[in-house]
Amino acid sequence: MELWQESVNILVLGSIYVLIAVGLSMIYGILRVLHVAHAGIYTLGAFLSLSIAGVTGNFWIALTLSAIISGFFGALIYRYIYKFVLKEERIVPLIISVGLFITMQDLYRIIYGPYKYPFSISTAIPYIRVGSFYVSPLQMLILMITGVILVGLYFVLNKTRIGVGLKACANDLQMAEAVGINTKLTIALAFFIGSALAAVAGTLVGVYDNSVYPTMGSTVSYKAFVVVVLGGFGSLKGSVIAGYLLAAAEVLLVSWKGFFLPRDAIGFLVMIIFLIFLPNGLFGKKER
Amino acid sequence: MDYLMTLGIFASIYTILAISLNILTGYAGQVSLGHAALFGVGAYTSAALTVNLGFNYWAALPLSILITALVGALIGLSSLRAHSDFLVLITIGINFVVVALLKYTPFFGGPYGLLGIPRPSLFGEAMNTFEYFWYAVGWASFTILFVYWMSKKYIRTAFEAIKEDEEAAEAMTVSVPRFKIYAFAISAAFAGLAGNLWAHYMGVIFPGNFSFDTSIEIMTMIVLGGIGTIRGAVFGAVLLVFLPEYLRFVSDYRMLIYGLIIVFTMLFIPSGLLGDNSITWRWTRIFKKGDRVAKNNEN
Amino acid sequence: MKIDRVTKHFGGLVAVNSVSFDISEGELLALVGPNGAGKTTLFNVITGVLKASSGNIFFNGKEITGKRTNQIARMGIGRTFQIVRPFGKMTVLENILVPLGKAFYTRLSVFSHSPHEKIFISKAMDLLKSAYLDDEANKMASYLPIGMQRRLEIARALALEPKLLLLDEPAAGLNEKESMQLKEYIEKINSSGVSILLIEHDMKFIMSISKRIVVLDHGSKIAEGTPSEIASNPRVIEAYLGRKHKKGDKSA
Repeated sequence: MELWQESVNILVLGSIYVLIAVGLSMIYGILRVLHVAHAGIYTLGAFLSLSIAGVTGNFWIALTLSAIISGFFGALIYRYIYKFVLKEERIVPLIISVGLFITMQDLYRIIYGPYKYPFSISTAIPYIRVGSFYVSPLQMLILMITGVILVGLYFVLNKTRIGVGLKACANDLQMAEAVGINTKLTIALAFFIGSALAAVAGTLVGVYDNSVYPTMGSTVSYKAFVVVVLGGFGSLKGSVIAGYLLAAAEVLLVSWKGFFLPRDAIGFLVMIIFLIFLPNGLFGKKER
Repeated sequence: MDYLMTLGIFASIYTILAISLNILTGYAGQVSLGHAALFGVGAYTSAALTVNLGFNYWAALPLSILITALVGALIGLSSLRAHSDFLVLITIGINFVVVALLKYTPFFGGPYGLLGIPRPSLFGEAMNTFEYFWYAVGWASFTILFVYWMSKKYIRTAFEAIKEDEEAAEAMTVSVPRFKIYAFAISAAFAGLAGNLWAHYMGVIFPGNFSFDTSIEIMTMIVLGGIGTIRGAVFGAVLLVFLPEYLRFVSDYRMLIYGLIIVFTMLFIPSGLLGDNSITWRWTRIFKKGDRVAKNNEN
Repeated sequence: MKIDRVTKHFGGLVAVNSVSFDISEGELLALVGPNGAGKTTLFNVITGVLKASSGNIFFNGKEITGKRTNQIARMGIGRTFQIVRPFGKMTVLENILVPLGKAFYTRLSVFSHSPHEKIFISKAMDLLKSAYLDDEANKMASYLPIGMQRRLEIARALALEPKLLLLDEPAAGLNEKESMQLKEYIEKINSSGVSILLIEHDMKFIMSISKRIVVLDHGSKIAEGTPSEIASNPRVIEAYLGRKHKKGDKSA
């Protein structure tokens, strides 16, 4: 029974990882940029939802608006920053991204103060309980939203022209340009989608933990890369599987008493080992 | 006065850190965003040796430098497999793992850190702040001189060659793995020295002192001053230690300003304020017709 | 140097298929073949950048198969790259100073010797002079026109005092005048006693410079002989013309 209970925790945690990592993987697949500032957007999404929900009193409006605004913000980062350094060595956009992330994080601290804001909502979802096994309404909410998003994403990527454009760009940017795809718009769109998903993830974590605070993205920022590395850079399917795998590893190892490392360090260890020994991840194609 | 001395000590320690990162990143082209981990290894090694194992400071000093250099060489092994942005991810990961290990190891005091780290004693008496200031300045000067001397030798040439083009360097008899490890080990040795100086001045150290934020801080210093130059590293370190103390808003918005510095320097003045190719540095050299100016102005 | 049945495959793809040939001391041997014939792969196997799947390579009677690139270079094999690769952010002079430190890179004397010592500078300037580059000594290498970058790369390889020089398409992208200058330079090097193995596409260039030619196609050696023998060899003509017809004249 306990294992069942853990499996719910794994699914919930994994869903969050997946929502964040999908955007990162998409962006890396197209631009080869390690977009650390993605976690800044994750936090932005949480704060936007909190603020909008405070004004409107409606969680769904808040979630939607927050995702859209964050999406635009992500696209702006591409348009006004990354675009200018794509021809530089890959280190340059990465360091800029790190700089951008700490800037954003400190901005939130300056605007909102270093406090934890409670973020509680009421859902119409009932408490599910079978014996000692239960799924809380918030867990159900996260699972449902992630499910809808992943199905929607699958549809967009595989059945629409947007998806074709994204795939073409990820395959070969110059070639995509040559066959008449508006690559700038497509890349901006990738940033939009990825950032919107990160905002949703931030919001859901804020609600689940009932707290939103400026540094909530700091370990997430790098841990999302663990997922991307594990799944193979640029492979969305890989990221989804890897997200749940990492969650499983973390939850199970932490519940195993006496494990010598804290939860967050497990992810980083996994990442280091993979980058050194299996840089193409579990599911990625060989690069170059 | 003590306050100024303390700042001077911090500036010396950060100068050593910035120069040491500059050896790795500026000379050898191996970008690390986990340099604080090595700073921490140096500090914790020396602290544990003196506090937990009863070593004398003067025995702990070389040992802490040596052990940090070894750890650095070990980390350097990863650079043989992972390049550029992947290496950066690894160094970030190492920083988080090292901090987590320190937090969870009772021997290192866990989250409460190590207390009661002794000041080194001189003629039987523990150094006061004034003496420690000169001690730290002495080490910083030694670092500057050593690295300046090293930068004129063939080791620097080998570093530059692997930074520019690993395959061409190999074809020119420069062994890429060997010099990558050298760069990591030498850089780590100085980071270890800085850690030692920090621990024995503060008397107390926590895992949080050596977090990723500190790595960012060191990187900001060399990015601002100009990657690849000693003067840039010194300038960046001294400026970013003193500025927050004298400008209130800088200390309030420390991370914001570091972030902005990184973003704007990388975007608009990639060779930093005092880098060889930067406008600002050339501007200061207009009146001295050095060969460097000639080199830069051609084409 | 002796290359003995060297094979290199990448997964299922055979890039070099059991190729054997010798280069005697002081010889200038040309290696030709259509695109994708495996010439550059063979270079990379010789210099240790790639590991041979099978076969052996001997240099001066010693086996060099499996040695690291820097060791092979130290034994006296210099090379240039198909796409020019000078150290772009160094000056022309500094580029030459890198290989001049070859005695130090394996020892701790790397900490004690300086590239600014007079002997190194004067040696480097001599090398630059013979490459007609002495006027450019203090320019950034990446600012030079391509013809000069090629000569710089050759001068840099010569600084290793090699017994054998591997040149990968040195004439590619050069105009008539640059290519004449280059030919003169290569002949000068060769007559000073350095053996040369040359990859080239430009048949006119090859015919005028080499006394012996080895032809590769699809990874295998299909011919070996003097320029006139090669020019009349039907298999060679087929390899070249066959491609041309398929691809539509791309001046292979």
